[in-house]
Amino acid sequence: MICLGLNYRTAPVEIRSMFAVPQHLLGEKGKVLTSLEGVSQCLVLSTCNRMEIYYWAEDYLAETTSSDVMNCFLPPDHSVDQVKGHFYRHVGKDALKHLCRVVSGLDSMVLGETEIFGQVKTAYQAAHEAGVTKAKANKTLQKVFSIGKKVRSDSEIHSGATSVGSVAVELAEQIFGELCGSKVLILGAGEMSQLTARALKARGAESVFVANRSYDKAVELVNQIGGEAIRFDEWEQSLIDIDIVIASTSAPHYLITPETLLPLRSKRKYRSLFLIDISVPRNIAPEVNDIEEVYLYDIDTLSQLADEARRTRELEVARCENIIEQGIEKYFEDETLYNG
Amino acid sequence: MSSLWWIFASLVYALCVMTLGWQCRQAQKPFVHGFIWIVFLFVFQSIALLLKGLEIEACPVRGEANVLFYFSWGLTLFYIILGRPYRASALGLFTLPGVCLLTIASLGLTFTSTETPYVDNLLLTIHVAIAMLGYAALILSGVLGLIFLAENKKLKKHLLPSKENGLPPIRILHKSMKRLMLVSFILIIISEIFGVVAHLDVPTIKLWIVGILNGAFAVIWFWQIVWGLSGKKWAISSVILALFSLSIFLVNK
Repeated sequence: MICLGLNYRTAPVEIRSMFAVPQHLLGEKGKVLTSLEGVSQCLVLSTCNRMEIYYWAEDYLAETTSSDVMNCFLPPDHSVDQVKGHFYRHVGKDALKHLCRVVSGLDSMVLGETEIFGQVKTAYQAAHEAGVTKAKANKTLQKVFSIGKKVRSDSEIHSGATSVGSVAVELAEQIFGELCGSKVLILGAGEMSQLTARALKARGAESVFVANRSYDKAVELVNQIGGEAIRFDEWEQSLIDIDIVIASTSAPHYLITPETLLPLRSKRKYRSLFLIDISVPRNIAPEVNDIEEVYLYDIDTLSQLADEARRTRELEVARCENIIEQGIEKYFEDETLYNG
Repeated sequence: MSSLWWIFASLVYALCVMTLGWQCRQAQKPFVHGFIWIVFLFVFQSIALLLKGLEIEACPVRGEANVLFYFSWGLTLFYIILGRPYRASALGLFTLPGVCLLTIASLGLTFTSTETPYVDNLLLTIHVAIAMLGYAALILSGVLGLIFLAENKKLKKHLLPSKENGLPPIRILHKSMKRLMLVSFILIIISEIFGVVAHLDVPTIKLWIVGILNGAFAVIWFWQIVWGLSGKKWAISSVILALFSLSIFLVNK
C-alpha cells in the first residue's frame, strides 16, 4: 500500500484546490488510477484540508508510478515537477499508520475532529462502488476503521469543544438540552457572532433575531443565515422571548446590565438566559451573571474553555498513537498467520 | 404461578435488559427499543404486585420486603412517565441497576425476616400505597434538585460540565423537578383523602408533617403561578421538601 498526498501542512490552498476531487467523481478518478500499469486497487480521499491517494502497486519502489498517479490529478497546464515538492509519500506500514492517524483525527487541522472519519468512509464507499477496491484493500480499510473506532472509544481525543463557536453550542446544550425551539438574538452583525449563530442554528435553534446599528447590515446578515432583522432601539423588548443572546457590537459601553434584565425576570417566568459576549470592549456587564437564571460567558472564558479542550486532546495523542501502533501490529500478526 | 415467581422473573429480566443495555453502551450503539423492554419489566412487576395482593387479599405494600419491591416498581413507573430527557440522562440509566438492587434486597428480606401481619383494611392499604409513591416522587425531585444545583454552580463558575456525565441539561432538570413535585403533591393529597375516608388514627406529629408539606406545596405553586420561580429556587425547595418528607418515616405509629 502506498499513500501519496498533500495536506494543509505541505501545500497552500491554491495547490490543494488544484487537486481537489468532487465527491461524485471519486469513483471515476479511482477507475482512471487503476487503469495505470501496476496499480491494482486504490482509494481517493479529497477534503478541504487534504487530497490523498492510497493505492496498491506491484512495484512499491517505482518512482515512476507515483509520477503517473500525480499526473492523473494534475491540470493540463501544470507539470509534476512544479507540484512534486508539496507531496508526501508513505509506503507499506507507514502508509497504513498514516491512514489510521488520518481516520482518528490525529492528522487534522483541528486535532481529534470526527468529520474526517465519515469522509474516509465516503471515499471508501465511492471506491468500492466503482469496483477499484478488492479483497486486500477492503480488509485493510476495515481494519483502519476498526482502529479509528477504538481510538475514539478508548481515548479522550474527541472530547470537548475546541472552537469558540462549538464551546458556545455545547454550553447552550448544557443549559437548554436540544436547541429546537430556542430563540437567539444577535447584537451586532460581526463575523464571530455570525459564526456562532450559524453553529447554533445548525443544532436546531428555531429563530434568530438580528439587531445592528445599521439596519441594512442586519437585513444583509438575515438574508445570509435566515431569521428576522429588528431595529436597534427595539432589541430590549424582544429579550422577553429570547433564550440566547450573542453580543458583538463595537459599543464602548455595556448594552446589557442587571438593570436591563431585572425588570424582565418575572415576565420571562425566570426562564434560563444564556448570554455570550464576544465583543471587545465588553457589551454585557459581568454583574448580570449574579442573576440566578442568567449564564454569562465572554470571549476570554470561551477561548479558555476551547484551549483547555485542545490541551486535553494534545495530551491524548500519545495514547492514540499507542492504540494505532498496537492495532497495526495485530493486523500484521494476523496477516502473517493467515499467509502461513 | 406465585407472586414470588414473578418477582424472580422480573429480577432476571431486569438483569438481562441491563446487560444488553450495558453492552450497547460499551459498543456505542443505540439501545434499540430500550423503552419497550422496560415497559415489559413494568408489566412483570405489576403482575407480581397484583398476585401478591390476591394471595393475601390485601394491598401488597406492607412489610419492608414488599415496600422495597414497590419502590422498584415506582422507579420503573417514573422511567416510563417522566419523558425522554429523563430516560436519556444518568438517572434513567440507573433505573435498571436501581430496580435490580431493590428487588434483590426485597427477596433477601422475604427469605430472612418474619412476615409482617397484613391489615385487612383496603382503604388503609391504598392510602399507604399512594402515599409511598408520592414520597418517592418527592425524593426523586430532591435528587434532581441536587443535580440542578451542582450543574448550575458549574455553569455559573464557567466550568464546562462534561457532556459524557450523562446528566440532563438545566432546563430539563427544571421541568422534571416541577413535574415530579406536582405528581407528588397530587398523590399525597389523594392518599390523604383515602386516609380520611378510612378514619385513620394518625399521630399528631404525622399530621403536622403532612400539613407543613401541603402548605409548602401550596405556597410554592402559588408563587410559581403569580410571580414565577427560578430554577435554583425550585431546586432548593425540592431538596428541602424531600429531606423534610423523610421525617414522616421516622414517626412510628
